[in-house]
Amino acid sequence: MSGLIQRDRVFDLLVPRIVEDLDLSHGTVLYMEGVSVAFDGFKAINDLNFYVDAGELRCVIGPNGAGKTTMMDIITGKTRPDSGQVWFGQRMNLLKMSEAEIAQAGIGRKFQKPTVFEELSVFENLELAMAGPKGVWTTFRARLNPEQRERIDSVLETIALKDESQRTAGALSHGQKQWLEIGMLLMQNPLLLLVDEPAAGMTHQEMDRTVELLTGLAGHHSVVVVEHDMDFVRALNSRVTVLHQGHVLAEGNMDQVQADPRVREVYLGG
Amino acid sequence: MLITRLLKNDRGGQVFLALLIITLIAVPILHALPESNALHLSTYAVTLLGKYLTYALLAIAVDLVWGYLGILSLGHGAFFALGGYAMGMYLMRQIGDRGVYGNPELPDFMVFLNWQELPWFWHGFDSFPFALLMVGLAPGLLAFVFGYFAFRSRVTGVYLSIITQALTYALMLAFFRNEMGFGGNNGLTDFKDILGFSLQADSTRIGLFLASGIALILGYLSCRAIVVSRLGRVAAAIRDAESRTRFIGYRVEYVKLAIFTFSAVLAGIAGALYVPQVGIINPSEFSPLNSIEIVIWVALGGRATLYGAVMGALTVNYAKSVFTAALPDAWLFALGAMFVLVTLFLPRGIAGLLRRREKAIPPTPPSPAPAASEAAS
Repeated sequence: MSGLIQRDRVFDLLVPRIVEDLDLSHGTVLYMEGVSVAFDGFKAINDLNFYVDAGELRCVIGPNGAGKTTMMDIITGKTRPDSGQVWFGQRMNLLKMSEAEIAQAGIGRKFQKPTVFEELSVFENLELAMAGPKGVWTTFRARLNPEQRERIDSVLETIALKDESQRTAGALSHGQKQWLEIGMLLMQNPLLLLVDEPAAGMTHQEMDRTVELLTGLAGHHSVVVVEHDMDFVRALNSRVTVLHQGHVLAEGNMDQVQADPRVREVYLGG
Repeated sequence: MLITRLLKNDRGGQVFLALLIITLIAVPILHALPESNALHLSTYAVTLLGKYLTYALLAIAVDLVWGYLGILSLGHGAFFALGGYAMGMYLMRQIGDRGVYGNPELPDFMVFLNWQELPWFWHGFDSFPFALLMVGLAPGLLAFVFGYFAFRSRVTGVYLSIITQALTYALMLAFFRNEMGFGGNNGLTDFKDILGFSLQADSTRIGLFLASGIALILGYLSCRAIVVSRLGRVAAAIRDAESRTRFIGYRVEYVKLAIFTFSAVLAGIAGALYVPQVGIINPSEFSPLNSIEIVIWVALGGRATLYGAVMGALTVNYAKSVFTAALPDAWLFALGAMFVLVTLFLPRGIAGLLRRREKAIPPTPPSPAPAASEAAS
């Protein structure tokens, strides 16, 4: 972890892969404009405008059914909106790309329930997730070169599982599995990380550790965190977007948002 | 060295290969002893052992797809039989004019059916290299085409098992037909010699036994090569969380297709070695029951260990030889009882029992290999 606090050093793995088509000249990684989607007449997302800056850490909060998960689904291509636009950088139209293409372009998503390969070791989990050619023959012939080994080691350090690297992933605690999954995302070198409820089911120590991890990632990656736990969001100390009925209700830092009377009314309940 | 790398962390495999090599050396010596000697091994026993070795190879092929990739194939008997038929066709052509009808051009069953000329698909089987090619190609191609459609449509689990079962059943019915040109009900038999050596000769029997043993060693090592590679870890990932593997960018259907096809080729080779030793191949080899029995061998020996599959195949088949001689009616009950008992008390099979003992000693974590050995391998 100390390596991440030393801000004068940049690890190779933390430098996002250069995506040829991605144009970040305006400093914004993700644009969502006028997005709406309805399921059986219910407007899950209603004229949503949402922007994420390069290297930013952003929290999205909102009551149940506010459209947080649907928003993630739209960004990753799982759900197609009825109207509106979604752009990755200046030039990539996410609405025209498949789920796999979006993942390849550099948007990684961590789901609520951690899914890791339980029978494989922590190290092997990261090895498989590593960006690179994944054909059958190349995979059969693949050997880790020292550079890749180093990369895995530094991710192991980032997610604080260095001592567990030879344990099977199934033997990890719930929180450690969550970190491992974040680590697997990091191995793919994404520009934008979407993290769904990372703190669910974690102990306090694990939560603190997760806060450290996520704030450490910001700056090199853009990170969007969807979370319910207010203490956790406060600890992340980032810009907060409040969603309500599929629409952005308020945006700002935690104190500003909490002071907003509309927010108090619908969500924080005073 | 390659072999040390393949067998690293595989105690069971090391022991198994060592025992196998000792057997391969000992059997010809014991056979050469005079018959009066108590340790003399009869030709019958040598052939029986050779047959077991081909079953062991078949079991490894099933373990590779079931244990490591999670595909429960109930149709591997079909690939075994196809390899056997390819070898059988070569052996039929070697009979020449020594058949009952003495026809130099046509095998007996074709003369019997009043056929005037050799069907097109029998051409080329006079040549041993061509037959060897077909031993791999016939099951491989079938597995490739079948797998391409099944895996592309994402058929998994019990549905896939049922289709593989249907596949072998359909082939059995097809091969039963005389019009297919594979000898119908009787299959191919009455073989005389292979590569000019008489199949009845003791030395040929020993040669076939050794060939089976060498094929088993090579098959074991090549399966290990897949298992210890990153591809093997991807296979385990597919077995445990298929959609997640797809999500991190692997083409799951291609991985499955490649390993499934390879496994089918191994099964075909096993079949090709089996046929000259038992002297017959007929459509009952395609019987669904046979394929299920292979799965029982693997379950009994222990999945996902490879050497466990070998132990299972040997144990069950030895028991079968003993039972069917002593109490023929009881055999199926004994097989069923063995299967139930193992499932209840040894969910990881015989190999699991051995492993549990090993686990008692805390395993030393495998240290990452230094860069130099990486470059050398």
